[in-house]
Amino acid sequence: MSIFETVAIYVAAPVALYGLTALLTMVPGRAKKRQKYSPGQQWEFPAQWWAGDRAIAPTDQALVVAGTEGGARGTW
Amino acid sequence: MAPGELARIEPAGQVEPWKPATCGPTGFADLPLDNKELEILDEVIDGAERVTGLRFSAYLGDLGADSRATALGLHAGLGSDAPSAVLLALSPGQRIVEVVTGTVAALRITDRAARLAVLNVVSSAGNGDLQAALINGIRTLADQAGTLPDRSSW
Repeated sequence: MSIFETVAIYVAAPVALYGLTALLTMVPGRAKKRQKYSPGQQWEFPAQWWAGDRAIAPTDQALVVAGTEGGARGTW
Repeated sequence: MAPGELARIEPAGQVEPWKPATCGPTGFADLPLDNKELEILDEVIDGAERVTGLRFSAYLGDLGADSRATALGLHAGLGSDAPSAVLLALSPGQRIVEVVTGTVAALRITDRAARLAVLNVVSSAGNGDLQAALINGIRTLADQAGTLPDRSSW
């Protein structure tokens, strides 16, 4: 085996493999990137509403008074 | 006809273009939160309901001109659970967050505690992270409501 063949097999081939692996790792995926929300941009998604379905603790009806909902609001 | 044989052979060159399904789940590709984020949100809502015994609800969408009235309408839509329900509503387009606590839930989550959750939501949403805004808001509200004594070992 000549010196060129030795270098090609034991140096160039591993370097090429490492390079290919590194390239595949660093190239961004083909999956479509979801657009990140940034404050101030338009919001064109449909409204979504979630709620849990776990059985809640029984409500004491004596405490229920209409119009006494609490809460808070804020802006960013 | 032998088993495995095609029942009908399409004439060459007549390929029907793919159409989205008209029924069944349609996927989340065009929605703001992906499946993984929705799963985490679901776990957070479930955990909050488990320890507090309250109904937790999250809304992400437009709240209209009168955001408080819209949020109250959504909260009332929870039906018989509404008095014990907590609604966290985010409107990213308007940059508004509304927390509504039902009449019974308001006894456990004071308006001051709700403002703490709002502060938490605002800081996350201001960074553009709506998933964290929803999750942190619900976790804060659940923390403020406290754990039911009979559920502390669940």
